[in-house]
Amino acid sequence: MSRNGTSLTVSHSARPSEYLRTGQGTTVRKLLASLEDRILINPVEPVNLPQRITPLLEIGFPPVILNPGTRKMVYLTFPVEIGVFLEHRGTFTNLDIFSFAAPKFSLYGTPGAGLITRWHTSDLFEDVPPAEPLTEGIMELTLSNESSGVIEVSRGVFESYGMCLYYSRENAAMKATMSVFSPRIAETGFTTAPSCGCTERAIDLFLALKIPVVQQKSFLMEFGVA
Amino acid sequence: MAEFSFLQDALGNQTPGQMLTGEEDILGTISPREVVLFAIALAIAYVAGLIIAQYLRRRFSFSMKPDHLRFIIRAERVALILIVCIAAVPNLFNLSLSIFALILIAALIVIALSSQKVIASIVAGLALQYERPIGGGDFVTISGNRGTVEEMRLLSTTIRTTDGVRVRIPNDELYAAPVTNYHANVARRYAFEFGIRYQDDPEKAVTIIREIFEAYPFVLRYPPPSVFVSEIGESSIKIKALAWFPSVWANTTDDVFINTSVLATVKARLEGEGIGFPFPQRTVWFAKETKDSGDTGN
Repeated sequence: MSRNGTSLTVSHSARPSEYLRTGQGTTVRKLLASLEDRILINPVEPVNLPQRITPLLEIGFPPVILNPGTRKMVYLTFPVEIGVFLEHRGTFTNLDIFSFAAPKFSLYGTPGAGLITRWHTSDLFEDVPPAEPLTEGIMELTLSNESSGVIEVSRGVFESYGMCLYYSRENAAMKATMSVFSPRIAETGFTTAPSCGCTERAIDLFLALKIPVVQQKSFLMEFGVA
Repeated sequence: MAEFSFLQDALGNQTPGQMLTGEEDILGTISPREVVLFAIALAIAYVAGLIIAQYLRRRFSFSMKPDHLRFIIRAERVALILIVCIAAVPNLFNLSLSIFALILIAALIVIALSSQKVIASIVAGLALQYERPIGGGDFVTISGNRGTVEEMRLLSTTIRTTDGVRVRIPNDELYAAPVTNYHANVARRYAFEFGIRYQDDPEKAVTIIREIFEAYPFVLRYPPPSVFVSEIGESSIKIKALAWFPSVWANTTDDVFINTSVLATVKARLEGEGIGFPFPQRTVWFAKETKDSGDTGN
């Protein structure tokens, strides 16, 4: 298959089989020992490229003013990374990860006590936006103001270990929540449910990579929401 | 007769064969049963140490650095064995606790006098574990040695330099030396300086350099990079760029990678836009010329 100048090839003509990806100035070639294994392609948590140095995704968006005790549902975009997996008897092994989105990192908090995050700038939408296929996914974010004052929210930090990605033929989506307790404290989390017409659940990358993690149900933002 | 009766009283009802004959009676009698019990107690302490170590690993492996956790686990296992020894040895040799304490103190004094440096390193190692100025995997400079901390043990700390050389530093030296930990904070700021020709447009150069830094993935979005004219130098206009990078990435790739990947891109792009990098230069005025022309160059 070939999209956006990148092509993926799995050839069975020669033994052993070969997985080949070309494009974006790089070539990835891997030999596959078994012909019986299945190749799966689906979106993965967008925190792996160009190097996995943080499990956090930070999305900046135009400010939203929330009155006390109110909820608002908005739609954002997030960068999509595409994972190629080899399935062998129910076990998934990650072969390759690539992306068409330009990566960027940021610092959430202070250099002494903050966190490095994968950064993405998104517009704010009231309805499901037309995301760029294979480059951007759609996040359905429910904002709630649990405090007693008006709060301006313009960014959210999400932990990748709890991401529940769903995908369709060309789109990826996830449902998230953000409960704001004060201008400095908020809690983000994910809902395990299909969203925005995407119904297939994606494989959790940290399971495929056998990364031992303590899965938290939510992430606590402690350095501000604006 | 009184002296002999005093002696008789002191010896009790012992027969000549039972009188004090040497260290055997000073240490008491050791029965095989007591030895077996001592060995069983040691084995129980060893197994208990392993079980506690397993619990500590499960409980703290995500919240503590690996080398700190390893140190605590080792200390816990050694402490259990020591407790068993201190509790069992006096009974094993039929010693009173006071005699056992005296023997122990004497041994410790001998050891302390003969190995002051080792004791100093041990104490410094304990202090370092408490203070934790550095940890395993941190990129540090200690006494001129620059590299990654491999392991912190009780007596010494080993670092692997950027050349792949292993350096062992005694903990007493480490505790007294100034330590620079590049990994203590999650982000590090790097400063780059570029000099362009006087006839080139500095605003254009600043814009180009800022674009390059903002597009580079590992230059952090916040705090944003700062690019500005820092000096009107002798030979060039100096432009300074300050950019923040993630410490964990910057240190693993070594400063060389940052310089080679960023500087080369800046040079190529500026030269492509017609902005040059001057050699150091001087303008020389001859006295006769200045006198004739009246221009002193001021």
